[in-house]
Amino acid sequence: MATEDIKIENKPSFKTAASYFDSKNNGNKKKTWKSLKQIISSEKTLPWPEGTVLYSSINAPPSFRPPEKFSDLSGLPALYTDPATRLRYANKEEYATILDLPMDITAGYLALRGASSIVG
Amino acid sequence: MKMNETIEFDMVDIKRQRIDNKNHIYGRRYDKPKMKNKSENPEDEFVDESRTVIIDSGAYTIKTELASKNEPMLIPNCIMKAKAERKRLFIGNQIDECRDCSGLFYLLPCERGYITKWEVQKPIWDQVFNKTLCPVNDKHVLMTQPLFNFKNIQDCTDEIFFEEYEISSLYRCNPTDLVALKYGLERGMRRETCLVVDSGYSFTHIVPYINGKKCSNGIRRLQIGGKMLTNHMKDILSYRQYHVMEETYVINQVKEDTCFVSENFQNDLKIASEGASKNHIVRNYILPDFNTIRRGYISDPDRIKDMHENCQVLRLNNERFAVPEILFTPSDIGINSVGIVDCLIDSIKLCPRTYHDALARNIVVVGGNALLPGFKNRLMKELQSRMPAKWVVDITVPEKSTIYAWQGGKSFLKQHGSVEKFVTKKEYDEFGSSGIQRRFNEWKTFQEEESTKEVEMKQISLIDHVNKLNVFSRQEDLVDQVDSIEQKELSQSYVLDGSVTSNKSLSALEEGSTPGLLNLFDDKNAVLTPPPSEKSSEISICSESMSKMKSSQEENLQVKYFFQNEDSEEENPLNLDFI
Repeated sequence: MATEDIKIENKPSFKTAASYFDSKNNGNKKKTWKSLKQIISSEKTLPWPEGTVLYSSINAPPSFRPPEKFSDLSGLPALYTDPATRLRYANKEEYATILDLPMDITAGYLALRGASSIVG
Repeated sequence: MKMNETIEFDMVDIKRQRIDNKNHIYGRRYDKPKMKNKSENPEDEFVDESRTVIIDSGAYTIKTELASKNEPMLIPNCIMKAKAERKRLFIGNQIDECRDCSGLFYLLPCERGYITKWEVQKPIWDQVFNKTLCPVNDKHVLMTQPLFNFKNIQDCTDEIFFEEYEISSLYRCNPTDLVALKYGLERGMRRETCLVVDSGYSFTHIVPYINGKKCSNGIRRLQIGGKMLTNHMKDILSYRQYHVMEETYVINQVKEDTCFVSENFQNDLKIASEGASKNHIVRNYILPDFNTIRRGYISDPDRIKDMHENCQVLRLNNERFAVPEILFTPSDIGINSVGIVDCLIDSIKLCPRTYHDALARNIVVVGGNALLPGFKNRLMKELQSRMPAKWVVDITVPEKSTIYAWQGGKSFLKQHGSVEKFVTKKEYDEFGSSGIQRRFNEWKTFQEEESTKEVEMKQISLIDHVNKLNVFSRQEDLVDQVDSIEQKELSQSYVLDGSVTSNKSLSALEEGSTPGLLNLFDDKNAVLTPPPSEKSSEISICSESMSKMKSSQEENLQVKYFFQNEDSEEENPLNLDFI
């Protein structure tokens, strides 16, 4: 209700920003909004003077420290990796459960760690 | 015809004045005495607090209220769909009316902190800025925007606020500006030098401020925020205990209630793997059922299942500190990025050397993640172990870290809230959104040349000393930057020959360097251009004195940087130095 109130109150201004947002009146005619990826890539193509600080240039630098290894199941420090599934585990009880896990769950675990590639 | 001509002439004149005043670096000097006169008479110059709304629009909550109030309202910046009431959309604070918050589905207007889904944002703003909650029409609005906000996002914001909500004037700035301002005031600094760490929902920004100005080179963004922590918690809990992938709302509460930042991660892990008797970390969290229990809570270990028979219990062990640990070591979940501590150090190192100490002494952490218990201590501990021993690290975490920026808005209005700063609707109608955006960005942007002066002066005399030893000629490098590529190659061959003579360069120094610099300055229109990186290698190929060079390479880079940024005035003492 509240949103309607405002719309009625506002006189139609010259550029009518409302027409952009009012999906009921406008349908899908003006869907020109870019996603963030598009915005970033379009920003990169602009002729910026050298050394300008942009969105893409302030990213945190990559880490050079090798990541520590944690068990995928419990989050404890993992000393071992199962060669078949590439899952990491901390002790033999966890290994026993790994053996029983179906494929989709092991894949999910790997994706969770961000190691979905085979090399991981 | 005559009328038209005169009007046109006036318009051109006005535009020219505007450009001269705002964009030209020399204009700023003449502005200063004017400003002083104005502040003598603050009453008619400053905006009326009771007619000014401060909006700190974050990706997760919008903090908004009239400037005359003490604390803002926190309104979720999202549209939610509940499973219990399928037909209804809950916009912003309407979620308070929702009885069953299980399986809440979020529509978020922001993508990585930047508003991109306007069809979601608009209804939320409509809800927030309507008559009952926080009306903005015919009011002054001070609004925040994320760092490096994109132009088309700013365009759209202007359009909505001026044309839809009909506000009378608008000012936009970064939340970190306001934080730095408030911090400076609290510490009694007139020109604040501090390092603002804003760890919010979408990302963590680290922004150094030097003498009240934002040092753009030193800004770092860590793509980790509260959203990622909640999502990761959802993931691991879903694999380890219940399937909670759809329970963002509940898990966010779990995170807020139970998570803490471990001060000694390895040690805490060991404790967490112990049995119940030695383990003081494990907690049982009673999940809400939205029937008898409205919000989850940590249960008393002695009285489990005393109070509620059928409640679901979430057992939290190492999850409690492993989740916030992502902020410190993102590589744990496969994000190839340094943690927040390395980011901080990186950011400090990118600033001029004289200010390193001051920055380390004045670190202020705001944002929702700063509320995690232990955050400050951990940061302190890691920073101290990584920084030079004589530096004093001091970290301030405000008690209400989420609304600190909003409160900073209040002090902004008191300090800098002159009417002239705000862009009125009239000006917007005249110049359009892109015309006024410059005015939002000029306050508190980097002016590094001002700050680097002192250090670099010494280094130049050092370089000069090296010059006399015929190692290389700095002046030719300068000429390089101004002149065409041909000359560049020529001078390069000079250097490579190893027959660099300094008599030419000495004369060039006294006479030639100044006009050269001015040219460069005007050409680039006051834009900072760090030297191309090949230059340094070019010089370092110098024939014999490689070992001497190695020590001074770093300074050499900085010196050139300094020359490019320098005003003509500030250069004079430098020349004297050489003579």
